[in-house]
Amino acid sequence: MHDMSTNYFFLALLIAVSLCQACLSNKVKDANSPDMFDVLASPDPARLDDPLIKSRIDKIQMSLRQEPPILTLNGLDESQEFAQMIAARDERFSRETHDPNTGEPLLNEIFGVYPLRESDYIPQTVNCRQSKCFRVEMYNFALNLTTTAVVDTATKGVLVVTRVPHAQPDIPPHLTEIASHIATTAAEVKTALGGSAAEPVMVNTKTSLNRTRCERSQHLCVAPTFVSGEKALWAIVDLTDLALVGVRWTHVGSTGKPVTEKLLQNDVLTKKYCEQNTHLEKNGWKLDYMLTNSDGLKVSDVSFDGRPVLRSAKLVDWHVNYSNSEGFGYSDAVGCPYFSQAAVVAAVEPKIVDKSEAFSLIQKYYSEGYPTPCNYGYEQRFDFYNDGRFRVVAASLGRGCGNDGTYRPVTRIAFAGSHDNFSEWTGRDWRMWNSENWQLQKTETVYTNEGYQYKIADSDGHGYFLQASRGQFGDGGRGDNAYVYVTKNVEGRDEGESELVTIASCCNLDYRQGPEKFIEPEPEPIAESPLVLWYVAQLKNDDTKGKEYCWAESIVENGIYKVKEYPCYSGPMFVPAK
Amino acid sequence: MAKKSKKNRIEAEKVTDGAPAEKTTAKSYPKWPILLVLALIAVGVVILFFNRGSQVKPSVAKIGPVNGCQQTPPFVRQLGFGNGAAFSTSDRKIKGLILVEGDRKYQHPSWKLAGSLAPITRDGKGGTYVGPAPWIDLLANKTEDQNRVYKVDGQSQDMKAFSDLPRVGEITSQNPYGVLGLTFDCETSSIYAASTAGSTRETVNGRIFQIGSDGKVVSMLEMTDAMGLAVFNSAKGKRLYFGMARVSEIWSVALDSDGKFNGEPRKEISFSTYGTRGDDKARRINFSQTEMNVFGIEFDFNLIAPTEKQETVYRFRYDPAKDAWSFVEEPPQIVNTK
Repeated sequence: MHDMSTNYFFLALLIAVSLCQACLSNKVKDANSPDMFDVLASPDPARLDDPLIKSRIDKIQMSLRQEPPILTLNGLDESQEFAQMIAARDERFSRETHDPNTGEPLLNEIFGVYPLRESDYIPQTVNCRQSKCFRVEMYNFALNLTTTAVVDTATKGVLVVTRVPHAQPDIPPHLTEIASHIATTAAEVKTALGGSAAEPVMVNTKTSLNRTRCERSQHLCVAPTFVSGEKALWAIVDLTDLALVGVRWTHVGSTGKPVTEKLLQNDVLTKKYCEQNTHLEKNGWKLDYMLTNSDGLKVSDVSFDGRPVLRSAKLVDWHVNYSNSEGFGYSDAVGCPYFSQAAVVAAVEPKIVDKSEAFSLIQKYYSEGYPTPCNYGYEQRFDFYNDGRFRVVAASLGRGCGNDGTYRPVTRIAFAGSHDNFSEWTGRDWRMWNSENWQLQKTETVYTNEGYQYKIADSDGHGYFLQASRGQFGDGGRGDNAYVYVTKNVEGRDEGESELVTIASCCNLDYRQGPEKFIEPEPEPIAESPLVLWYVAQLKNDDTKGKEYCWAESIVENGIYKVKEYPCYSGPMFVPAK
Repeated sequence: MAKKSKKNRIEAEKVTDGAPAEKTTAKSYPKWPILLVLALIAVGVVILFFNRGSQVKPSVAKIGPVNGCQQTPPFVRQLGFGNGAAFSTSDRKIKGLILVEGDRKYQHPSWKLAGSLAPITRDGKGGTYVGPAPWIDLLANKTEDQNRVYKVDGQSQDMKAFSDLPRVGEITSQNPYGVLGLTFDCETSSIYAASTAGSTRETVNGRIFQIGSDGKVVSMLEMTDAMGLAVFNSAKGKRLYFGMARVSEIWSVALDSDGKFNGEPRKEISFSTYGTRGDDKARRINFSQTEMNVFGIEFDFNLIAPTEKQETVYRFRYDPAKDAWSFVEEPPQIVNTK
């Protein structure tokens, strides 16, 4: 009997293993999927003091003062030097060396001067078979553009100029050295290699250059690679920003996907923040946070000094409408970059920033192509103060499809209390709301002397006052003109706690921003109840010079394009009531 | 009309007429063991027949695409549209399907009922088929409704659900997509639809369906997340080409004479090292006699992908002798003197 049951057990085990293998057979596997943690790097401002980087920036700045602004290549022989000079003087070759709108000089650099290849012989260069010609390759860092001139040094003429957008020539040795230097001095690389960076391999070859890309930034990136036993550490270096993008371990000899900027960003964010909570304890605050598929960064189980504060808080939607075109706009969800319902995705990790009296948890989201028109940037921020105050902040970073846009972020804040009451300040006293309701912050809205508009507290007075933004928080916010909704968080019923799909149209101009669906048609009583507060600020953008708001522009800095953001910060501050 | 319906019903009954006859026989002569043996033999014969069918050497037709029969719906001319008319599902301000020619745009009321749409194909009788796909948000595209193919009638202009495709796995907030690719094979009158419904970050649950002219699924290729589709008669037989939705690759699978999937898929090309972004997925595949054009877009199973109009066309040339494709590099742009 015993033997029989053992046999049955092994038979069942065999079947279970077979079934398990069958059901796992369509799992996505990548030969280069990491078995150690990948890292996204944050540019270290101190790198600009490094002698090699400083020298590179000095050379760039010097080249930007020349006309045309071209950083020439050193170490050439006399003929190559001559070819380089002739090319640089050619109007076609230098045509795109300045910003087309402002005329500011862009960073252009000669990457190589080579004898002609067989494929360079085209009708325009046919004379080169009897003459001495060179191919001069120039890279424009700002436009991610390669321009090539074929120069006949015998006739001192440029025979043909070609341009290849979004293409990058082979990098010269001095850039290889810089890439290697950035990688070997980066703390992330040193840590990954256990304290010392060996000689990088593959840094100088075309293969290494072609096997990585910075798809999102469209910058010139290479990947110095360090071999450690059976594994290789890829360090993606951005030669446009002179910074490390991140590191990833791969198996030597594997033929998986190449390690690129976007792949690394998506993988790190997904694994670290989309598939698990991160626990944080700081200055008396305890909380968990994670990236959702469509509700931005969600904080949960928030407590201060041991007292529960919030069940959760998240950013459900961004509604953007444009007043010059009726019904035109978008409902943007923000969240995870890979397999999600987000229209504007996280490409950077959440950051914790310390301030003198608080710390902030910040997450940014960007469209590809930001800040060009019709692309969007958003910021979500939670400020946790040492005295128990907290603020839930949302900002548009522009730029959108026009200067007639109004942004309406929909924030959901679920309080931890089970027996809370909600009251509004009438000018004389606190009037309690008996049932679910909404209200619009107007110019005639009255506040207490401390600036409080609402109170959410239990019968003992434990709870919070709400200060809506009227531009008093010193972050450039100009006031929220916000809709506030209060709904009952009924136990066992989903009142918006789970992942919410887009809950309202972009272009409703009134209170119908989505939370009303949890109120209508029959508002429920809310006295002594667990409550959810929904906050929808209304932020009008502005592109007027000097008054930009919810806006963004590209500016030229050291010959490359940088983003200048003009955020419109919104969101309520919560002040402990007792 | 009623008479016609009845006739149809009788014909339908005729198709299954074997069952009642056998039922009567069985009642008179209870010889079920013999019937069982006969049935088993019949099943065996059927299996043998189908196995033979799948092992038949593919018929080598003229090399090239198989969509030459596709007809313009008759209503296009009736509405006064000319040769430049085209269907579009990518207008930024009009949801659904529209007919466009120059500045003129037309939309039948039923063409917006399925929300935002993406892939389009046409059959040989003027029928137009579309698949839904959310655009920026899910307000008009409920995730559970994304695994359908809709058909626009060539005469009445009415758009109706044509085929509800079976899904593997549960719908999750990870993947808002269903049907992402459609194509038509004139030789077998098959519609092919690629769907990623039910797929998640970790698991490939997508399918490619062969759909008959009645909207019923004829055959399926399982565990494949694909987007663009097109059928091509290669030097070694007919194949369905499909762009993978997770990687920058084109794969293909052989089709038998009935258009059913036949054998294991194989990788044809990778285009991950070409183009502006380097991570494009093949939204659409077009064949000429000897070339394949792959329309690549950024796609990461989120809601930013289909909104971006940044599309790169990758050209590949077919070598019949090697039955292989090679990338055709675009010539550099020559900068002229002003």
